Amino acid sequence: MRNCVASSTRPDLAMLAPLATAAAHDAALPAPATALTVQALAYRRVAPSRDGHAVPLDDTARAIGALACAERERVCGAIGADDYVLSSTILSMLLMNDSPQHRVFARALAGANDYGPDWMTCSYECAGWGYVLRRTLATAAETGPRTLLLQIVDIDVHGYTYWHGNPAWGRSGFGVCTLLIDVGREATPSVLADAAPPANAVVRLGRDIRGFCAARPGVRAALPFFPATSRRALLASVGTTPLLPDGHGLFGHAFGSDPWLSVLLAHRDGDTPRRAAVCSLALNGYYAIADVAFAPDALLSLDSEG
Amino acid sequence: MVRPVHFTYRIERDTRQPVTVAASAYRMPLDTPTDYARAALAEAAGEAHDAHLMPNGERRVLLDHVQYFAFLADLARRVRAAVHADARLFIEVCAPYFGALPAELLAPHVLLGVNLYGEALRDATRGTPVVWIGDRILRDAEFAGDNRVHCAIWPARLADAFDSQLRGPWPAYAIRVEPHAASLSAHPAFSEFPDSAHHSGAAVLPGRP
Repeated sequence: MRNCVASSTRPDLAMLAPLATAAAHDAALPAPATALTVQALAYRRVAPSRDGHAVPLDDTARAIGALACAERERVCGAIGADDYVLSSTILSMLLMNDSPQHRVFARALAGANDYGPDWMTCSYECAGWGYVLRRTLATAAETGPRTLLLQIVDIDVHGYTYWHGNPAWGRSGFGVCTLLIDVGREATPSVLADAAPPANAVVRLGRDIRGFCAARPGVRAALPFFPATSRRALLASVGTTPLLPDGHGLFGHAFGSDPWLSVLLAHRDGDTPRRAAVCSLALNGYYAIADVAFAPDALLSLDSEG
Repeated sequence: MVRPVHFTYRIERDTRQPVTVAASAYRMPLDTPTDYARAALAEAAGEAHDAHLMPNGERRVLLDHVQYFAFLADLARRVRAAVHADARLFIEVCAPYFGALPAELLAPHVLLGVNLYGEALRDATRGTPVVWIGDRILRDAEFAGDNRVHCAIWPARLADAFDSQLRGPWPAYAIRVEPHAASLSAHPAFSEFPDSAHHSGAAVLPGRP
C-alpha cells in the first residue's frame, strides 16, 4: 500500500508547472502541468433502500460511516493524509449537526484508527470536490505540496424517494468515492470553481470545459452524468472536446462522483487516461472543472454494490 | 500559537423599520407513505435533541433561509471592505441550501462547511487575517437554534473593527446584533465532542437534505 505521508515529501519541483505563456494555448504545444496528481481513486456503489421500511437512523448512520471508513482504509490503509475532507450533496444534515446520529456516524467513520475528517461540506453540492480542491490548492500555495484524502459520500440516511431520482438528473446513483491526491503548488490554475445562474449553467459549464480543454491539448473531459436532454445541451456546448465515457446508463447521476466514475469506466475499458479534465455541475449552478493527472501506479478501483 | 478573540452575539428583533419577506419553505419533498414514516422517524430523533439544546423555548425566527444567506453574504462583504481586505471567512454551514448561494459566499476567500475551526486556526497561524463564524440562527419554526452567533477573529488587533461591523442594527433585515453573555469556550462544541458542528445553525428535524 502506498504511503500517503511519503508522497507529501516530494520535492516541489516534481509538481511545478512551466510558466504559462500565450503560446501555451497553441494546440501544437503540450498542456501546462497540473498541480493535482491522483494517487488513488476508488468507488463503492451502494444500492438504494427500496424496502419500504424506515430503518432506525442510528443503524443507517453507523452503516454509512463504517462503509466510508472501510473504503478509506482499503485505499489508504491506516496512514493519514495532510488533509482529510468529506464532501457530499445529499448527506443528511442529521449527520453533520451534532445530533446523536451525527455522533454515531462520526465514530463509525473514524473507525478503529480514530481518524475522522478535518472538515466536511455539503454546501457546494455536486461541485463540492472542486471547492475542496480549490481550498487545498490555496493551502499548498502557502505550505508546499500536501496530500489530500477526499471522500465524496452520497448516501441518504433517510431513504427519501426524492433522492432516488428526479427529472432534473434522472435516476440517482449512491456510493462512496475515495480519492488520494497529491496537491502541489500551481503555476497555472488547475481548478476552475465557479457558478452560473441555474437556467444557463449547463451551457456555461460546457463553454468553460471547451476553453479549459482547448488550453490542454490531449486532455479529455469527464462530464457529469445527466439524462438525455441535459446531456445533449452539454455536448452541444463542449463542441469537439474529446470525452471520457458517460455512465448515466450504468450508474444514473452519482452526484459529485460522476466524473470520477467516468475515469474509472475508461480504466475498466483499458483506456486509462494519464490526464483528465473532471467536471461537475450542481443543481444551483455551482460548477467545477479540474485538470488532474493520474500517477503511473495509481490505484484505480471500481467496485460493485456493497 | 496565535490567539483569537471570541465574540458571542445574539440576533434580536428590531421593528423600527419592518421589512417584508416572502414566505419560504425548506423541506424535502415527501412522496410516499414511507417517506412520511421516515420523516416522522427523523422528527422524533430531532425533537429529543432539540429539547436538550433549547430548554427555554427561545424560538423566534428573525432570518429565514434566504435572509440567512444574504446576511452572511453581507457580513462577508463588510469584513473584506472594513476589517481586512485579505480576510478569509470560515462559516459553519452543514447542509446544502435549496436556493442559490450569493456570489460572495462562493468566493475563494470564503469556505462553507462543518468543523472549520481547525482550518481557520491553521490559516491564522500562518499569519492570514481570519474570521470564523458558527451560528445557531433559527431559520424556520422547525429549525434548531437560539439566534446566537459565535465568532472568532485573528489577529486580535482586528477585533474591534470586526465587532463594530457586526454589532448594532441591520435595518435591511429588521434585526439588531447584540453582544451575548455566553462565551464560546463554554459552548458544548468545545467540550465533549471536539468539533464545531454545533455552530452551524443546524436543523435536526426531518425533511432536511
